[in-house]
Order: sequence, then structure tokens, then C-alpha cells
Amino acid sequence: MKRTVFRYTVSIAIGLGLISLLCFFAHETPWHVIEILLKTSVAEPDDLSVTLFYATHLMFCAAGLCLAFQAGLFPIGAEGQLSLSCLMTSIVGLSFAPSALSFVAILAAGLVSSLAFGLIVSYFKCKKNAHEVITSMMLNFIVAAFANYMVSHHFQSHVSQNPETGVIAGRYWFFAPIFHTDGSPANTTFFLAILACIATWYFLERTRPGFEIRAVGKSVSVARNSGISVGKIYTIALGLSAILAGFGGWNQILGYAHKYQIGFSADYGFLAIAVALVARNNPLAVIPSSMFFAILLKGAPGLDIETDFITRDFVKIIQAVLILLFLVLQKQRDLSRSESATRSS
Amino acid sequence: MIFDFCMSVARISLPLALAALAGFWSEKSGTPQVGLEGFLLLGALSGATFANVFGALAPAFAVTLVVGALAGAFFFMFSEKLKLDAILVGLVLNLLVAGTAPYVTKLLFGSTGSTPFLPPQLHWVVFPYIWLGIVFFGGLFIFNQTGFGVLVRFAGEKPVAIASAGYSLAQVRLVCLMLCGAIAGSGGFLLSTYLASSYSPMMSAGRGFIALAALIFARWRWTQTFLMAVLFGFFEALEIYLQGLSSPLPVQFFQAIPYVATLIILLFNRKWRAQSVLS
Repeated sequence: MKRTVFRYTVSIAIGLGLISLLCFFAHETPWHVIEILLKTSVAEPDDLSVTLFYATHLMFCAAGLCLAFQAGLFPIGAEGQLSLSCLMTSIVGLSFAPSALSFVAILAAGLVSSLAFGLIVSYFKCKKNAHEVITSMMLNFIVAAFANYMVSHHFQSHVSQNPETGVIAGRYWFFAPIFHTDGSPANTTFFLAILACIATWYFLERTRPGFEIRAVGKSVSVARNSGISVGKIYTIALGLSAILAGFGGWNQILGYAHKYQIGFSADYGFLAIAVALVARNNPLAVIPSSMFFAILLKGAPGLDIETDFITRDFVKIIQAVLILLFLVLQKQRDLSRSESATRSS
Repeated sequence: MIFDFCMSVARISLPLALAALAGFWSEKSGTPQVGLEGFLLLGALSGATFANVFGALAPAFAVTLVVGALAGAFFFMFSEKLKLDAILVGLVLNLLVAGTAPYVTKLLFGSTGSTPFLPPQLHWVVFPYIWLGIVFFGGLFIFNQTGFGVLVRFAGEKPVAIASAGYSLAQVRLVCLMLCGAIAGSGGFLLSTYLASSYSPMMSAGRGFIALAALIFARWRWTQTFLMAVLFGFFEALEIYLQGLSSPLPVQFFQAIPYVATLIILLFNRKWRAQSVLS
């Protein structure tokens, strides 16, 4: 335990050191960069609202990814699942007049379409032995093309110049803004996201299927020999992970934008990979980790304005460095663990 | 008209084919390669930057090959030396290049994300195709006729056999990754100096993934990979051509073709085995 904490600290220090070095190259101090990031993300209620909105997306996607990562899978479909969920939610919202049935339909649309995405990936994984990264990547692109097609050919808003659909009926706006300012993006799905993280943690740590997911992630052959159906576990993990990403559709469409906009996503699904890795696949740690990355995401445009040489893409470097560090760390831990296991046997 | 269209297919296929052939070396030697997008982008950035610095294309091309090979070695360090999952390393590489490119252009040229335009006389007309020919036929020869080609196959299909034959698996993979980086980098170079005349942000626009799709669709065979890349280039050219016309089929249909095709091939390919170590 002590060694883990030590390694964790050291790797964070190395990461911060590298990033600071890049800051100095660009004639900035790291403190100033941090100050800008914080000032433009949490100081004002308006900014905080955007940050919490980002965090909501990240929590849903990352909680789902934790499930899949713990099963030893690495799907990168959260981005496509989120887009698909938002698209289907707005299409249902635009196609049906509000009624008891359509309320259920609009809530289900995002989750079901996202689940379908996840099940396709799991089908390829279990039946065709195709790597989940490849299939989910291809599906991401297909979803993007599909969304472009649906918006440009069928649902383009008549009042807007941007590629986006019309606005769904006000009775579908289920999730009220948290802050009572106009157009505040953060809405009550934020609390739902925190609940989702806790529920995911409970599922993984305290239930039988959760245990089986972790067992498969540790060793497929041991899990299979002890009678766990690996294919079933993969399907559960990928399916649940897709459903969680699908909740993003509630946040985006039913809580904030109320319409599907092409390019609405700031790569939430990909950023969530970093969130989950930094949280070491622990859904509870996803909550602070999401906040951290949401601050980076919200603060990034501030870097464009307030510094001479650092652009918003600097945040991508920070992400990449963090992911690499945590991967190396995880690998070292696994290696030392398997070493001590062989020694004691 | 038809000639123009063929020329545009050839032009668009160049970076695709180079990236796909680059991915071939990496994947054949047992390193799954999803970082082609990053290599392309890096090549494009380095090409445009050094062409500006030197005021000539030839030295910029040489430097870009070196930069690409170094990026391949960087990849090797994480995937082979530190034993990280190569797929993750590839994703991180994409992210790292996407983040570093604006940083570099900002420091060097003071613009967010793009390089200044190259003067019109800095434009190769024939050499890109000669280079593609060199890469294609050179690779064909090396892979089928030389001992190194055999080693590459072994690295991908039976890594243990390499060590027992007295060669180093790591060395073979290092050479393959550097080859991959250099070739994909040259594809990026053509992207920013031949297809365009400057580097612009994210100009690879998913080509690395289309190249990967071509590689999978061709089931990791050299000539077929090349042909698939040209086929996907054809679809892209068609898509651009149709954007000017009112076509019965939506352009998004063509955008999705490479990806749908890949899924279909995975669906019908009962024996999905990239290389035995990849799965």
C-alpha cells in the first residue's frame, strides 16, 4: 500500500515536471497556467456551470469505461455511443408529440440505441474474436456519418444556419438547470451522474456479476476454469458501459441543448478514457477525476486568450502525459505483483 | 474530365496508401498500430515546418523521414520496452501529436495551428508517385525475398521462434516500427506539401484510420493493402466530386464506406487472426 502511494506520488511529480518544462519553453510559469485554468473554470457561477456540465458527460462515460476496463476490455466507443444517444433522443423528441408513451420513449431512446452499439461491439468480440478497439472505432465513424446524414437530410432546423436539428418540445425538458441563470448548462443529471458512479462502484465491488467482471479482467483463463462464462461477462460489461455512456444523451438533449448539434461533443468519450485511467478504473475516483478533467477542458480556451504561446490544445499534451504515466504505473504494479506471486508459490 | 478524376484519385490515394503500407510493417511484426493518424499528422507538421525553414523540399523530406522513424522508436520504447498495450500507446501518440502541433506552430510561426503557405515553386509533381513506387516495390521485395521479411513474419506469428533462431524480437520490431513511422511520416509530408501547401490543424482528418481499415480489409497482405487504399481513395475522390453535384446518394454514404466495409470483412472473416499475437 505504502509503495503504491509512493509510486503514485512520484509519477504525478514526473508528469507535472514534464508539463512545467513545456510551460517554461513557452515563457510561462506553471503557476500562471494553473491560475488561468482555475480562474476561467470555477471562479464564476456561469463558468462553474459549464464545468459541471462537462463533468457530467465525463462521469457517465468514464464510469462505463471503468466497467469495461475492469473486465480487461478496451472499447473506445463512448464517443460514438454518446453521439448516437443524443441523436436518437432528439429524433424521438422531434418525431412524437408529448404523451405518456413518448415520455418513456424519449428516455429510453438514448439508452437503447447506445446499448445496441455496445452489443454490436460485444458480438464482434465474442463471436468473431475481433478486437473491440477496431470495431468501436469503426462504429464511431459510422455513427458520425449517420448523424451528419440524419441532420442534413431529414432534421435540419429551418431557423438555424448551423448544422443542427430543431428544438424538442418544452415538455421534454426533464432536467432543470442547477443554476438559475439563463442557458446554464449544468442540470440535475449531474447528481444522476454521481449516483451512477456510486452505483457502478457498488455493482463492481459488491455484487456477483461485478466480481465476475473483475475476475475475467484479472485472468481470462482462471475465470473460465472456475466456471465463469467469459462471453456473458464481456456482453454485460460492454452493454452496461454503453448504457452509462447513453445517459449523456439525457444530459445533452433533455437537460441542456434540447437539440442535436453536429460537433457538440468536445471529445468527451475520448477524454473519459483519461478520466478512467487516472481514476485507476475505480468508479468512485471517477468523480474527482472527472472534475479535474472538466476544469482542464473548460479552462483550455482561457489559455488562448491569456497567454502568448500556449494554446487550448496544450490540454491534450497534459492528457497524453498523464495517460502514459498512469499506464506505466499500472504496468509496473502488475509486474511486481506477478513477481511476488511467483516468489511466494 | 475522366483524366482529372483519375488524377484526383491518385492524389488522394497517396497518403492513404503510404499510411496503409506503413501500418503493414508494424502489424505484420506483431505491433497493432492505431497510431497511424498521429504519424501522418506528425509527418505533415514536420514536412511543412522544415520546408519553410530550409526553403527546399528535398532536405525537408529527408528530415521528415528521420522524424517519423524517431517517432516509431518512441512508440517502440513504450510498447516493447515498457510493455504497454500497443493500442493504448497508439491512442496516446495521436493525442500527443494533436496537442504538440499547435504548440510548435505557435512557438515557431506565431499562429495557432497552421504553418505559413509554401511558395508555389516548392511543389513536386512526379516525385510523390516515384516515392510511392519505391515504397511499394521495395517493400514487396524485402518482405518476400529477403531474410528480414521472414523475420518480420516470425515476429508477428511466432515470436518465440525468433529468439530460438538467435535473433532479437525487440530489434525486428524496432526496425519495423521505425519503417512504419518513416513511411507514414512521408505520407503526412505529401499531405501538407503535395495535397496542400501548408500544415493546417488535424489535416489528416481520419486518414490514418481509413488506412488501418484498408489494411484490415486486405487481411494484412501487401499488394491487396495497396489496392484497398487506392479503392478507399477512389471513394473519397468520388465523395468530393459528388459534393458539387446533386447526387441521388448522400455523401455521408461514401464517408461511411471504408468503415462499414471493415466491419463486414470482420463479420465474414471466420478466422480473424491479424497475427496470432494480435488477438
